[in-house]
Amino acid sequence: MARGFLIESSGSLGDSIRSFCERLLKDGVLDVLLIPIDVNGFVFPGFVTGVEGVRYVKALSPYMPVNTAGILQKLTRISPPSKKLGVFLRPCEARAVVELVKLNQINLENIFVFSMDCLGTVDFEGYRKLVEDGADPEDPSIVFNYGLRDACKCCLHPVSPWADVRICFIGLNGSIAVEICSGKGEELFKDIGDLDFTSRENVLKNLINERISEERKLLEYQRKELRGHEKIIEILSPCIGCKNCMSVCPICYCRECFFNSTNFDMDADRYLSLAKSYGVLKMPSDTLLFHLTRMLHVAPSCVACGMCQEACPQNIPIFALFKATSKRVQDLFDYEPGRSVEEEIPVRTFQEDEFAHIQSSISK
Amino acid sequence: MDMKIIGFFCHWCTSTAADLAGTIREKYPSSIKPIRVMCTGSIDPIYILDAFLKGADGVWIGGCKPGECHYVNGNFKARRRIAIVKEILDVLGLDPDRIYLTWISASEGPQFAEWARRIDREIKEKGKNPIFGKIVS
Repeated sequence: MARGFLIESSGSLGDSIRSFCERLLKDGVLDVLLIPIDVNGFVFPGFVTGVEGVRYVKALSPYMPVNTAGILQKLTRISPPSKKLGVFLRPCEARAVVELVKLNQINLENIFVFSMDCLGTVDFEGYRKLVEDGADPEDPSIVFNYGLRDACKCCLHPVSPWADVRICFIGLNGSIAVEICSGKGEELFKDIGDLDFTSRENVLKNLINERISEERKLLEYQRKELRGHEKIIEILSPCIGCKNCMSVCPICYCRECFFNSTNFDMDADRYLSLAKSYGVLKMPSDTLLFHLTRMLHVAPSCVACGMCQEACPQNIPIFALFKATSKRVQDLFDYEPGRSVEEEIPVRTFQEDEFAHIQSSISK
Repeated sequence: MDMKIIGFFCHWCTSTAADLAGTIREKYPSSIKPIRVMCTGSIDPIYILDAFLKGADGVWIGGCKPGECHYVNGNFKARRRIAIVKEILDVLGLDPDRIYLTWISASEGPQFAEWARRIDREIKEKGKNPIFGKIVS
């Protein structure tokens, strides 16, 4: 049985969230919030330190400019906060946080993860149009009128599998429930009771089934259209090597990227001899290697937030490739990124008896 | 046709086996280009991918038998990484079967030569790396 309490409604869902935030800060439950705020018509994660900042909160806006997990990574690199920080995240952000915690890149001391239900987000252009149209960005169903991002269309996690506290609104007929999901979350609130999530569970089940069929469509498309030597080279060749996809990716965990290092630096003559052996050599070089390496590094932990796709200036269908490869790798290890902080990342562990089909030895 | 097969061989086993194959005058194809590494667990898969993208027709990783790793469990870790590389190449349709992973211990010179001949033959049957002659980068 889910445990928690309902937030008193004060008008729209957005208003209810704002009054909840106000309560959190006023009662000293939390000292600071990191939550999506309105920044001149757009939405960005921002710190809210006092009640007067709460009016900027736009937590439910269907736009995700960056994956906030990356911000927490930067924030706690030297030391975690000394004050109680509540972080309001979308499920894909919360799942990325779990992966980064396991990679020792986020320290959750004094950080409380509030995961909000998410029906999906729109891209930059979509959100601009939404604002221009004067639509209410905090109406959860509005997102379907402006076209979900590819990543959201096939997202199987409208609710995060892990959080300290969940902010739930899907399937609750306009009310908002605060579900306590961890011991850390329990410390924050008194008056916790049982929540009736029967209708919510049904709504979620239908939603996820829809998403599963969308995911199947995308994987089918990748298998048919984005596969094979010719095709992979063709679709990745517009890459200009800007590495935007790498810098926005929350999972891309190397402290210093191999491709920013001098490891692959070569003498001019070596480039020329490579060009000679190929016939011609496209510059900047190693872009295909860059993407394949990134897939390799990211695949076990990819949360499919699709930020890479949004950041690509050349519109390379990179999300489909990452989704397809990471799905296969995660299925291989029966691993789901973001499911739990305790579960080991596949590459950090092994079993003595596995993958018999890829290895060979003549004598035992 | 001249094939290029890059071999990453563990110092403690397959590399020694390759040496032994030479010492006992077992012939193995010159398409195999051995690179000695300290452990299969020390091979960053990026070099496997790099070999393919720079025109290698096959990559052969040779390590100690499971349970016999000089560094306790390097070969188990390598096996997982190579499983991931193979899955990804399979999803992208980039011919994962050009990657070989074998366990050959230091005393198995003849077995090393046998594998070398077999891998050379299988790669020849597959033909040149399809990436060859395309504008890649």
